Amino acid sequence: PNAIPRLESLSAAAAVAAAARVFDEAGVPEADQSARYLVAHAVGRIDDFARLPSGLALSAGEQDLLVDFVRRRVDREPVQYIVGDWDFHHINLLCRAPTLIPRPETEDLVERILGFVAQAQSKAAPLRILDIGCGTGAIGLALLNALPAATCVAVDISENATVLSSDNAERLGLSHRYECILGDVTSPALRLPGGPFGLVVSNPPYIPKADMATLAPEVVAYEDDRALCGGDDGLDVARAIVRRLPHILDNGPASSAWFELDDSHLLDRQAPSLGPNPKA
Amino acid sequence: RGGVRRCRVSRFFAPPLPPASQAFSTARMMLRVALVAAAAGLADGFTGLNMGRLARGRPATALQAMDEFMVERLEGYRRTFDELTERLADPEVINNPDLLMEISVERSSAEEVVMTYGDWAKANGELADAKEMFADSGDDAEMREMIRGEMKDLEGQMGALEEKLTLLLLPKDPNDGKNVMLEIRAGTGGDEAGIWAGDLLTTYEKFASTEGWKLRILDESKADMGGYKSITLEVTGESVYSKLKWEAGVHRVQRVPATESQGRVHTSTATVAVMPEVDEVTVTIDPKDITLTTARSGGAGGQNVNKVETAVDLMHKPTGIRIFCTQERSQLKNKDLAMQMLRNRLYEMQLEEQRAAVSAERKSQVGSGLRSEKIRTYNWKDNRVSDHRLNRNFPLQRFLDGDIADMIDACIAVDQQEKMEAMAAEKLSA
Repeated sequence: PNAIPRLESLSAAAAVAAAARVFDEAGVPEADQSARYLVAHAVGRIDDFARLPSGLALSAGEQDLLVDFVRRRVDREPVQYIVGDWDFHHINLLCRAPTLIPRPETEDLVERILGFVAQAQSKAAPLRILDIGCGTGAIGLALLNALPAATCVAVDISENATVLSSDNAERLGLSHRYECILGDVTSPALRLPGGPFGLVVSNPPYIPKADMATLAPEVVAYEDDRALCGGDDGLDVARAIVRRLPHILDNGPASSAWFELDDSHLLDRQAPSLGPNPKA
Repeated sequence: RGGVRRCRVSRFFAPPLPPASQAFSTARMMLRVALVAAAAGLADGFTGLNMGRLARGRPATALQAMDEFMVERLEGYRRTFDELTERLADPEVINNPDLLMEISVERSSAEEVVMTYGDWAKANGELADAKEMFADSGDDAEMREMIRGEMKDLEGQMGALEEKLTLLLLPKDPNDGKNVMLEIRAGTGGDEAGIWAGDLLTTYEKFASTEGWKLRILDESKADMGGYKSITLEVTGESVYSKLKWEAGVHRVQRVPATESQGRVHTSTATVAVMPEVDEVTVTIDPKDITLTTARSGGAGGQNVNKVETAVDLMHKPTGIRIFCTQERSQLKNKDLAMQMLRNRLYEMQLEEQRAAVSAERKSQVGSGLRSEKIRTYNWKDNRVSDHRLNRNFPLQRFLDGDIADMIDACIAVDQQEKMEAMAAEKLSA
């Protein structure tokens, strides 16, 4: 706390510099970026993080907030958890530990799906989407946001996630098209509501067990293991999903299953037979 | 509903020229001829109106000098309007908000021509009636007086409508309705040029505010002694390009700089570029032509890593244009923004080529719009702004207050005059 000057008037520029210095000395990565986000958040202007007016003064209350944020970051708590929400694709999502924070690569997954759907069917046509391992609800909700006639059923093994994704759906005004259930996709007991789906997507835990120890504290100490570790080769959950596909995918125009996986998983080497559904 | 739409469209519509202009009178004459011809020839255009009666409103000789070009254009607008009206009822269109919007906007501009022509035709018909009544009124002096008054009113109305139609039928700049990327760059003059760039920004911020436009900074490079080396903003709202385009070029300032200790007057410059925002259809970028580098490129990513750096570095290989975008929390939004900025710049390059070609071919007063053109000099001692295109001066204080509407309107008026002269010249040579 003493490293951040408590001044009558602390400018944003000085606050960022001080926080960045603290982070540098504590070995916190992305010191400057983290400092910018946290100062912006302390003054309630997170979206202006890239260009806060340098002369902007922090009130005493805001300085107290900043000190608290800095302390948490020194403990390697992810910036997104400290701020409490983050932008993903074209939506904003609440982020709460230990639910996995959406990654930029997953935005790319959403874009690819949208590109595929656009050439498979009309934008106004309905589509039943299944999002397995929904976490914050990122993938399903980003898709619903872009496809006005789509609906989504989301599943997650963690109650933290089912509550959070429902909260996010509500916050985005998408609850009427989004249903989240608690369940384990590797368990044969799991029953999914409604019939087969028009499109299946998953960002399952895919990190091989051996790699877990190499992860940064932000990830391994704060985010749910169950969202990260996919067993020995990282494909346990993905495999379980693929086995189910013939029963959960319909024969509609957009019928397909999409996975985000690790670099080490080259689908054409690893993917088992997909059964009778030729398009997946 | 029609009333509201008409209000919106008329904001695209620039103020009319002073009627004394020769080019304007010529154009209006041609139009009047065409209108009458159209009224006589188009029996099916306007239900409920007796077209034969309409034709008698004006002298017969005018009918003989039918201006096919004008008639064709009016007819074209009517056909477009009818087609677009039909399309609005198409379920495919109704369910597609983007397409619906596009068609509605297009229809609105055709609608204005069609409605204005309809108003003119109605007034013309009433004039014909009044003339008949006048002829039948015999000795009734009071009646004749009243009818004469009515006829004068109608002719006044028709004159105003003809003016409006003349302007509506002028060739339009297809970019007029677009939002823009506005770039202000310090030119010659060192520190003072940077400060001057900042002053220009302040003026445009004020003007944007009065116009109800929104500004968003996309990129900025501050100058050490104040102001900017360069700053790029997005300006969104109605009719942005149609107005701001007149600000493009070199702005020269003559004053004693704030940094000057000995009271000497310096001349410095700043360049303003106004780039219309274009979509992916207008400018398509081949993915092979770009390299996109992100904070994650080449390193570990995905679930293994949680980093907050989402900056995007976009490089367009054929032109060397490089755009670095860091301002969004979402990497996708940074990518989209960088691509948008690239599209705008590529389009601007195309436009600049076109401008150079037009400028070589035709001597225009308001110009080329070329980036290098010196358009204004701002002189502090004399308290005035000289616009070199218009050869006119304006009070400096107005500019500093962000009150640049007059200067812009003057450019628009001269531009319209030039268009009309061009149209008249075309007719004469045909």
